[in-house]
Parts: sequence; C-alpha cells; structure tokens
Amino acid sequence: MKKMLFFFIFCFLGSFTVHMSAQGSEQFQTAMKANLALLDSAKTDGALIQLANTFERIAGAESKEWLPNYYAAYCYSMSVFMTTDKKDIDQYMDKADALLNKADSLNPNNSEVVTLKGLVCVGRIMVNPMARGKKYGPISNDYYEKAKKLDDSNPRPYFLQGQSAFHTPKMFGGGKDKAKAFLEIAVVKYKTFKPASAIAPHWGEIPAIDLLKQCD
Amino acid sequence: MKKIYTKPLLFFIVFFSFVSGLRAQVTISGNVVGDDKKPVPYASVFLKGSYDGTSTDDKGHYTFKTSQKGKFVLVFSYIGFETQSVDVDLTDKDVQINITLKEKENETNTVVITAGSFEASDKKRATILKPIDIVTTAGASGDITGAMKTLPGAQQIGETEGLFVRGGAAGETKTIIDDMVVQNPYFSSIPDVPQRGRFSPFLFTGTVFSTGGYSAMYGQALSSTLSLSTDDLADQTSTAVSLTAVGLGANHTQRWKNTQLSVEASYSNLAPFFWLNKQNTDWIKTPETFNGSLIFRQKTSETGIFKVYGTYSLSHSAIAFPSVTDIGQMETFDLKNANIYINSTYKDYFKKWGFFSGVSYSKSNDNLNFDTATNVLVPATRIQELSQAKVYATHALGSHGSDIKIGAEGQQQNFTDDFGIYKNSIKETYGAAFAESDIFITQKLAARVGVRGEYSKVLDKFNAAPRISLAYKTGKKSQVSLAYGNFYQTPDRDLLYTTQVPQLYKVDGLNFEMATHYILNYQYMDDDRTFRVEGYYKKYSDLTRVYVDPNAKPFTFPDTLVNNTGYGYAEGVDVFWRDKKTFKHVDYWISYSYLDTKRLYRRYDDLSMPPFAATHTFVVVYKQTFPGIRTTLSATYTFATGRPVYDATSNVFRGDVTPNYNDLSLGASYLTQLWGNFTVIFVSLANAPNFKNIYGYRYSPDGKYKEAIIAPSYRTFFIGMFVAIGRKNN
Repeated sequence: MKKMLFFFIFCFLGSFTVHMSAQGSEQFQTAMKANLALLDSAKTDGALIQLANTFERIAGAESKEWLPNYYAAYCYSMSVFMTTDKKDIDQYMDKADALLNKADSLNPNNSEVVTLKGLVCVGRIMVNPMARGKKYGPISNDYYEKAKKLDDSNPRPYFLQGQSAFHTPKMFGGGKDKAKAFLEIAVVKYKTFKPASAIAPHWGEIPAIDLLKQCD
Repeated sequence: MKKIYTKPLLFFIVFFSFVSGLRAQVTISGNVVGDDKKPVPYASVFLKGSYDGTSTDDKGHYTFKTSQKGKFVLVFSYIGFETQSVDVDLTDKDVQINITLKEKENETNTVVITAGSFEASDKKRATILKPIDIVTTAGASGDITGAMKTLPGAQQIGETEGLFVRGGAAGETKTIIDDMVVQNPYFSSIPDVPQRGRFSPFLFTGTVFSTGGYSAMYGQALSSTLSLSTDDLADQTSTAVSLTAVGLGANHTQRWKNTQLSVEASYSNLAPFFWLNKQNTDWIKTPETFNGSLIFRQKTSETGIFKVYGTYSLSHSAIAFPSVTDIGQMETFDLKNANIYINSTYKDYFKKWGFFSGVSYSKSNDNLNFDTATNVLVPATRIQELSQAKVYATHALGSHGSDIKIGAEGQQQNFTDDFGIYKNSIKETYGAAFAESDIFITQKLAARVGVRGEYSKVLDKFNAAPRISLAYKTGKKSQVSLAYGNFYQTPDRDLLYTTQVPQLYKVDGLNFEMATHYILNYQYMDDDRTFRVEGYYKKYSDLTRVYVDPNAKPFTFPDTLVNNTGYGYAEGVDVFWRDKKTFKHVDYWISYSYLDTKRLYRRYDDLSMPPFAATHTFVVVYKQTFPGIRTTLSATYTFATGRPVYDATSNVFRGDVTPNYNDLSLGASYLTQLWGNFTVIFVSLANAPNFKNIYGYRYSPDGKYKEAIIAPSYRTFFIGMFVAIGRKNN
C-alpha cells in the first residue's frame, strides 16, 4: 500500500515537473507566435512600442533566447519610421542597440542581428538627415555587407540596401536604378529563403515587392 | 493491501493535480503618470522574470492578470524615465498600484551654462547655428566672421577685418582652434580693405561664439572668444574640388580604419572677381594667394585622438589710395605675406578622467612697401611668431555631469617691426594656469566656477581672475543665466614698443588691461525656435593711454606718457529670435543690439564713444529651401546707426558721424550632379541695392579736407562651385 502511495506521488510530482518545463518552451513558442502575428499587423508607433515591451518581457523571462531581444529591437527600429516626433529617437535606438548586443551575445555572428544593427543606424539618421546621413549611411552599409557575408541567402540586407538607395537622392549615391538592382536580388532571395523556425525572422517580402514595383 | 485507503488517495491526487493545474488568477492594475502628472502611454509594466505584464494604454492605465503567487517585483519602465520597481506579495487578492515615473536626466531637460555664448555644433541638439548655416548665410560669403556678424553682439564694421564685440576693438576678441589660440586668424591688413578669415568653415564641426563671460580656460581677450573645433576622423575617403570667382582649390582625404590624412591646395586670384565687380579701390597688384594644408588624425584608442593641422600660405596684393597730405597725389601700399600655422592636439579619456595636451606654432612675415606721395619707397618688415603649449586634465564628479578642470599653458612670442629708420622688437613669455568646475547642483541649477592666473614677462606682472556663471532652468524649455568675471589682456605690441623708445615715450610701468563683465540672460529654446535676451555691463579699467604730458616743458623729450590710466564702459541689451517651424521650409532669425559705450584709451583726449560702436544694430537673415528644385534662397538685411568718426592721422574726434549703414545681400545655392558627382553651385549678391555706405573718413592734418572710407566695391557678385568626387554615400 505504502509503495503504491509513494509510486503515485512520485508519478504525480514527475509529471508535474515535466509539465512545467514543457509549459516553459511551449509558453515561449505560443507567446512568440501570438505576438509575431500582432507584429505583422502593427501599423502605429504606439502599437510597436507595446509589442517591444512584450518582447522585452519575454526576453526577461527567457534569458537564453535571442529572438525576443531581436524582435524588441526590431519593434523599436520600425517605430521611429512611423512617427514624426524626433525627440526620443536616439534613446530608442540606444535601447535597440543594447537589445541587439544581448541577442548577439546569445547567438553570435548571426546575419539577422547584424542586419538589424544596420537598420538601427538608419533610425538615427531620421533625427537630422542632412547632418547624420553622411555619418551613419556608410556605417549602416557596412553592417549590411557584413550580414551578407555571414549568410548570403538572407534577403533582408539586400532589401534594406534597396530601401536606402530608393530614399537617397541620386546625387548622393542613391536613386531608383541602384534600388532596383538590390530589390531584384532581395525578391528572389525571399522566395528561396528558409527561416530556421516558425518564429525566426521572415519580414520584409511584401514591402520589398511593393518597392520594386515603384522602381519602374 | 488495505483496499479502504486507495480510493480517497487516488481522488486526492487527481483533485490536487487538477487544482494546481488551474491555479487562481489575480488582477494587477493601476495608473502611470510622469512627474508633470501627465499620463504615460505605452509604458511597460511587468512582473520581473515572468511573462506576465502589459503596456499602459494611451491614458496611462494598465491591467493584467497573473497566476503567480508569492514575492515578486513589479517593474515600470518607459524610455526617457527612470525605471521603478515595487515589491509585491501576490496572494489571491487583486492588486492596485499607481506610480509616478521620474524623467531621466538628458540634454534637453538639464540646464546648460550659456550666459554670453552661442554654440553651433553638430553634436548638441539644442544649438543656435549649425556649421552649415554659416556657409548658406547670404552676405557672409562663406566666411565664419561674416556669419557671426549676423548674431547680436558683433558690430557691423566694413573698413577692417575682425570681430568687434559689444563696444570692444577687434584685438579684444581671440580666435581659438581646438583650445589653442590662433595668432593670425585673418589675412594681413591692407588699409580699408577688410580681409577674410584664413580658415574655411568646412574645417570645423563646432563653433562657440562667446560675446562675454567666457571660460577660465581662455584668457587674453577683453571682450570675447570665437572657439572653433575641428572634426574627429572624417567619415570616408573623398576628393573635392572648388572653383569660384576668386580661385580654385582641391582637397583629398584618405581614410583608413583609425587614421585620416588630408591634403589641400588652393590658389586664389581676384582678377576674375574684379572683372565681375567694379572696384572702388585702385588695385595696383590684384590679390593673389597660394595655400597648402595638411591634416593628420589618428584614433589612438576607443576614446583617444591625436590631430595635426598645418597650413602655409603666401599672398601678395597692392593698392593705391588718394593722399590727404598731398591732395591730388596717390600713395601706395604693397603687401607680401608668408604665414605658417601648425596646431597639434592629443585628447583621451579613461574612466572618470580626461586629458588634453596641445602645441601650436605660428609665424607671420609681412614685407611691406609703402610709397608716400613724395615717392619715397619705404620698405618695412613685420614679423610675428607665437609658440604655445597647453595641458589640462578633467575629472568627472558625481554622476550628473559635474566636473573639474585644471590646466596650464605657456606662450612664447616674438614681434619685430622693422621700418628701416626705426626698429622695434619684443620677446614675450606668457604663462597661465586655471581651475574650473561645472557643478550641477540640481537638474535645474548649475554653476561654473573658475579662476585663471596669468603672468607676463614683458610687463613683469601677475594677475588672478575669478569667473563665475550660474544657470537656472525656469521651465521645461527656458532658463535664466548670469555670469561675472574679470578678463585681462596684455597691451598690444605697438603699445609695448613704446617701452623701447625712451626718447619719445615715458612709460610708467605697463600693466594688464582689464574688463569686468556682468551678464544676465533669459533663453527659451525648443527644437525649432529660440528666443534669447541678454543684458550686459562691461567695466574697462587699466586701459593703456598714450598722451602728451600736460606738465611737460616745451621742446623737452620724452613728452608723451604711456600708462594704464585709461578706463571705459560698455552696456547694452542683445535680443535674438530664430524660427525654423512657423513657415514650411523657412528658417529665419532676427538679431537686435543696443549698445552704449565710451572709453578713454590710447590717444583719446576724453571719454568718447569709439568708432567701432553703433548704438542700434539690426540684422534679419532669411532662408528658404525648395526641395523640389534642390535650391536654397537666402537674404540678409542689415541696418546699423552711424558710428563716430575718429581721425587716425591727427588722433582726434572731429565730431563727424558716419551715415546709417544699410545692406541687403542675396544668395542662392543649388544642388546637382556633374558626371555623377555631388555638386553645389552657389551665387551671392552682396549689397544688391548698391547702397553707398561710408565707414569713416581720412582727414588732412588741418581737418579741412576728408576722403570717405568706403568698401572695395559696392554691389558685389560672387559665384562658386564645389564638387565632391568619389563619395560612395553622400
């Protein structure tokens, strides 16, 4: 009788702990998938900041995962393009840089992290394009080139280079022809790129296709 | 096995696991406001280490459910605010926590010491003029001094170069590059022809024009300093060429990972410019200048940088002007100048310490030939040489930006004026030490307290000068500052030469000249608009006087006394308003100065208003960008009331006042490409309405005949083109 009692308690406790850890990574996957779905439809800077907060929370709870840090940085970077308020941009970009450094320490030499570092530089340019363009433009380009070296199948550095060229006047080294060249490569790579998991970065395909249409 | 125990046990186990799987949830909610009591939207609120949390809505309200139990930390965070944590003990009761977040200290909400200075740099967000503004201001002709003259405090002086600030002479303003003093910031003087500055504004990333009350780090300027800072490493390798109505130039910058080397050469010949603009001045030799410069910069560590800047220039020009002693005859003035300037600095930071060291060397060699109406050619040589070494260390105090700086500098100067019939030479050794501390007493109140001590070998005297500034933030975007200080300056070299001519001058032990500044200002500044009003009182004392001894017996020499019994005052109000927001693509600023000043110095007989002071000065600068056609148009209107006229030949005021000064200058710049290279074309029309301004008069010895001193040309047209070759991204 006693043996059976202990046996049941043991099983119960055992299943309890297994349930807990499965719940951990399951919770992580569920939370990430749910928030990534929200991210795809986020259209305002306020919505992006809220998502950034959520991803940071997840990052705080899951200290070994690089993806929530990456996505929080992504939300901050994208938010500055949705607002005309330049006051806080530098602080948001500093935060994004810190999150990307954390992501980099958890998953070094990752093409997506390096690509996003380039996008953070573009965010900084938004504060004062005339004064900051010539400083941060080349730095962001260096990041994109490094990202390509780490994983040439990644379409995102090509997309961002195309986007930068599209919005840079021809006399400053940009223009639609240059943009078209980058975007065509990006669009092809989007078709063949295989994300490492359901929650790995996969953004940018539709904006790339739309932008390529505007290059003609 | 006793069957009676299994069923309740199983039931208990199943029930327990069911209950533990369900686990009761509690709600945590509340409001988040900032220290201005306004709600903080999208702030992050969460239980540390868990998934549970949310963001505040646009009314600052948050609510979320959690199943966690026990002691947790509830974190509130939002960008720009200090993160706050609250300990919570979660039971089965709902929790309500409201919180007030405190703003983080940053550039925009921290008080800044500004009394007496205008800063223009790319680094600070809140600035008054950015370096690009200097180049696009109509009427400035791309000259830094020209642009500074559109700010209140600088007088509109057209007959000679220099910055005349708040009733002070040009020599009372010092130009500083990377903390090192510059001996010859302008090309050598030619009578009635104001010279340009030697340095292009493109060299500098920061400009601080201080109209008074400047830091204890600098001295030997009774009125003000113009402090220019060069860039750290250039962004990339590039080549640039410029072609203008006054000459051509080329610059190549090579950038390696931590090193930059730049070479520049330019040749200037005003012949095409004179062809475009009829000159009032009679040029015997059209001005011609060769210039070569070298820049070397090395990043020595993550925080350290070593810079060397060297420039060499040769120039030659000559004019003829009507004589006032022999009416109808022309006198000539021919000037050849060779100038070398080398400036090297090293700066580094380590933890809370900063270290700076610099050396500089300048030598200017003027070869003059002036021909009086009697056709006697008088050759003369003027040599000025300056060597300077400076070191200082800074140490951060506390964590709010407070710091302390201590430093010392030494200068060695040689002056020689050789006019054949007489020759004067002075060797001066100057030493100074300073200590200054920026103290942020609270986020709203800051003080800068400093002291500077100087020694001059030629005078054989010491001085010690206190400098104090206070600034208080009265509102989110406004602040009040005040400044007080003593500023000493060794008398000019032509006054020092009197000590070497005992047969003419009886020198009564020369001393430092001194000015005491009292400044009070109010400033409102947001990203796009600036309003500033500043009142000042400058008390001059120990000014050098040169005057005939009233007690001297006739025909005994020396009969002229030289001493420091001169004095004076300058008081006034400067107002500045800049607006980049109200009109789309338009940036304009308005400066107004009121100046009341008198002094008794040099050869003046009485306390008089000096010829470089106008009571009212008014400047409006207007710029409009047309992005569609990549053009910027600018206009500058300047008005100043008349200035007293001083007869420099007989050293008297004859009671004349110049007419009011008017100028309207127009400019345009156009961005385009030349064979795929970034190109800027700029044109300017100074004095478009062709006003015939008079800056003063030159009198005959009996005062009956006078020649008006006018600008070298009235309406002046200028055109130039700048091409950047091979830049990858802009």
